[in-house]
Amino acid sequence: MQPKTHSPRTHSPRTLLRAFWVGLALMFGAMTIAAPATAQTATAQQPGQSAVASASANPAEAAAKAAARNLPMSFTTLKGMSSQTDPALSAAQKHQLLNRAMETHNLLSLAWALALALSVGMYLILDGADLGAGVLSLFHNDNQTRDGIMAAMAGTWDANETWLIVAGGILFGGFPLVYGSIFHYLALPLAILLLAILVRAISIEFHHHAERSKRWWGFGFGFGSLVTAFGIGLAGGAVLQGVPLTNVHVTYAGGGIHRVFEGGLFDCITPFSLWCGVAGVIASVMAGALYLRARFTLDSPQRHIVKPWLNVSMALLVVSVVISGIWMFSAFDWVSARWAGPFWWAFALAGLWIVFTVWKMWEAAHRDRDLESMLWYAVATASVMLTVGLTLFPWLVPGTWTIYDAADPSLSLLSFTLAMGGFFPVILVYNWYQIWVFRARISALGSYGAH
Amino acid sequence: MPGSDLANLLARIDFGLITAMHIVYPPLTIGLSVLLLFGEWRWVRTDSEHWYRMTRFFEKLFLINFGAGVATGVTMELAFGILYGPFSAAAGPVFGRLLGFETITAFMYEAGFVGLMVFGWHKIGRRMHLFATFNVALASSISGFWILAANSWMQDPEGVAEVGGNFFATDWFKVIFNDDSLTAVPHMLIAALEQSLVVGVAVAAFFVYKSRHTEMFTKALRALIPALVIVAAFQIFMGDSLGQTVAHAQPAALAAMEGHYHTHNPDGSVNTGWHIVMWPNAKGDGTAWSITIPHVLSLLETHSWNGAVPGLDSIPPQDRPPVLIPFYAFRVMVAAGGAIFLLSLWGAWLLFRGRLSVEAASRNRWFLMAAMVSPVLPYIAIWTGWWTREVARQPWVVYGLMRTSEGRSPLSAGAEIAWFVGFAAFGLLVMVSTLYFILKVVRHGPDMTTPIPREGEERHEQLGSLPAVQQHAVPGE
Repeated sequence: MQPKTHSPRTHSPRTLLRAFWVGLALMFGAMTIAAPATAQTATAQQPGQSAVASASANPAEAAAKAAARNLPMSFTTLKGMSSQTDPALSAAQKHQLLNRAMETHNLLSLAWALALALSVGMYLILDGADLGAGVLSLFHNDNQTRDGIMAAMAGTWDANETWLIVAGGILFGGFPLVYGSIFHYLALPLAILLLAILVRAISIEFHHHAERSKRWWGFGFGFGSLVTAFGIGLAGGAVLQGVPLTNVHVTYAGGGIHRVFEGGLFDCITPFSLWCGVAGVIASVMAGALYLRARFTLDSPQRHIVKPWLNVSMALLVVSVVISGIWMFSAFDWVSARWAGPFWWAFALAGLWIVFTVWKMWEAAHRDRDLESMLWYAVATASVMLTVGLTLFPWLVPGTWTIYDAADPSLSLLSFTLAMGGFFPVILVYNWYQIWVFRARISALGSYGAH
Repeated sequence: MPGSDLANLLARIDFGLITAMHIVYPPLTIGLSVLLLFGEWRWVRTDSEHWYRMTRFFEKLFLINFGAGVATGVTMELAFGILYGPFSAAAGPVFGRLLGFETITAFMYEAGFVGLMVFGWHKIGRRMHLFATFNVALASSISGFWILAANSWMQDPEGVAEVGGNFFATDWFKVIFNDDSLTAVPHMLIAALEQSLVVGVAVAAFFVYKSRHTEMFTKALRALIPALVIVAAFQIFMGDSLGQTVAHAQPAALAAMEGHYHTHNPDGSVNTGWHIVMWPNAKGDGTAWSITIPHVLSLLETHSWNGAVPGLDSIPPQDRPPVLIPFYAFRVMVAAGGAIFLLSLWGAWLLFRGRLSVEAASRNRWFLMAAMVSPVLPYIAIWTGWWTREVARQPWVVYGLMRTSEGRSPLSAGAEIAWFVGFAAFGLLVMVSTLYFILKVVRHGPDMTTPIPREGEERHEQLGSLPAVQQHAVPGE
């Protein structure tokens, strides 16, 4: 039987080098474009930020200085100063300065939020499939199938997981106030999630090296995947339902009001968050089934084993998306306000579009166009995320943190430009390269299995 | 001060556990990547099969270790927010940013090239592969730099303003290159190199001892031992420099490390005594017993016979760090570092006397045995060094600016204990299995049969194929 979609590909020896140079060129290109803006911010930042330092000492003087030089000041400085009587600035001047600083701050906050969404989205799309494949291996734990499943993701699972680490890094670096207040609320699911990720990682790692204990590592891999998928869904649901934070007066670092979670460990466990955990497992199983079907040749047994899983999980997923939508609409004000608001038609269109992508995914999967169905899966996931994101906007955590309040008030264009203009393109080029390599591996694996 | 003392202690122990189980892996990753680069460079330059086989062999150890480091590292990244939420929120604009820089500029960079390094053999050219290895080494060192810079800022928080309960950087240069980081970063990076050199010597000693691949591994010994002599000696110097920095920037930490309770003796003279060992009294304001040499402390810290060194009694009681752990952990670290240096001198002497030739090397039974057990030393030194550093900073999480009790999330004692039990069990699992598989790979020995990549024979068409080991797992053969 001749596989249609996975013809063996040959790679030119220079492809790798080319990938590297493209990445490098992109990086320098972005830097060249961003350099004037960056230099401007870098010089402008210094007086602005030293104004922060002296803000408590003599805000009026600092503001007058900055106003005289017509420099943009940081959002915090201005916010702090505008609350005080300031003879050096007229009300109009103050208003203008504040507006300008706020615009910059808001733009950067939004940019970082998009970067965060990109990382989370990449993680869900890429690792979701790996997690689902792991869950499936629990039910087909004969050596051949499980080993095949683990071999199928050998080269890419860790690269996929790095997106989770990037998301964590962006959250800590860009939104430290959210990171500091929400993670405590999520302590229980995150702790379990981390343990599961740990077990899963060492299981994959050591499955290759083990002989007698192979079975145990295989089980650890499957179980770790299941708990991770569930935990991510649960944590996501727990955030969507809102986080009860208390204002606390702190005395360190100049003193101020901080929002802290003071509830218990189990506050995040509700019917809704548990349901989101279940939905997370269903979604990942579907993604895993799609992925495995794309990874094995048309005549390999694994492909047939996962077929019923694909059908069932896809049906369940459609049902669970509908249930989640209705649940969110009826339980959360921020959802009903948006979906029944003036832009209801946009969300209706988005809903139709998601149905369309799922249908295309189903159609492609049933015509054995696996790569195409994987791409539709990615599009569907991205669309769902975008819809949820638009519903959430401007909240990062509904009812608690808007994107703008949550962002580090001292966000600077310099670090954003460095990260986004410099490193994100390189990372994306790598990811593209790795996916490209692993697409080719399908044929290698397939031809091996077909012997 | 919010929270009970017990809950504060538990929060410290919990985070200590997370960091202690993570720090086991990254130093070896950093150091080994440099050794891999060296080995591969020798192979590309000399075309000697030995260097190639050795590089591939140590690469296997590197990979096992790298995986464990990433797995425990994710835990640590999230643990800041879970266990120390208020600290993360307050210091996030500085500390979180540094960790964010690490994620993007070092971690992603490294992860990408590690993939290329592992799957690239036989598929990309030798020089291209060497370039990948170089990037792995560079990226892992950059990663170490960022992490240490972040920690050093907690020790020596310079370049920030405190506004509204948050720390903001006013001068990133001062934040990153504070006095502490200037000595602490090299101290840690050299520790990483030293650790991997010791592990390398131990592995080589094992094969020489067993007379397996003797020629190849004596070659390794002859390269690694001189490097270890230099690195171990330099590390002692670096450690002393860091000690001077701590004495300067954190007098309370130094007093705790030396168990130096009183600036002056009861009769009014300057207390210059340096304790070799001591035990604090029940009240914790002096020693119950000690073996003390007069004048040594003054000599060490002030380079004078009778210079006054501020004791713990010069520090307000609520700001005093615990003494026992910094005091003994510091001594253990110094002893371990000294032992590594002595071992390297022993090896250098054998080398100098020509006893490490291919024929004679395996006859040095005692040296080889000592070398085989020596990897335990750098691990102990790194652990105790970090315990000294972190415990002596207490009761502050950001030295002098924010207390640990203010920085921890208000978790219940039960939750803290559950966290400890869970992560202790899994951390131990990771550690035991890592050790088991590393020993297994070592016992199995290097692969001496698979073909060596030759220039111009890269099999690009198999760029994406699975490594041989995994292909056997594919059913339907």
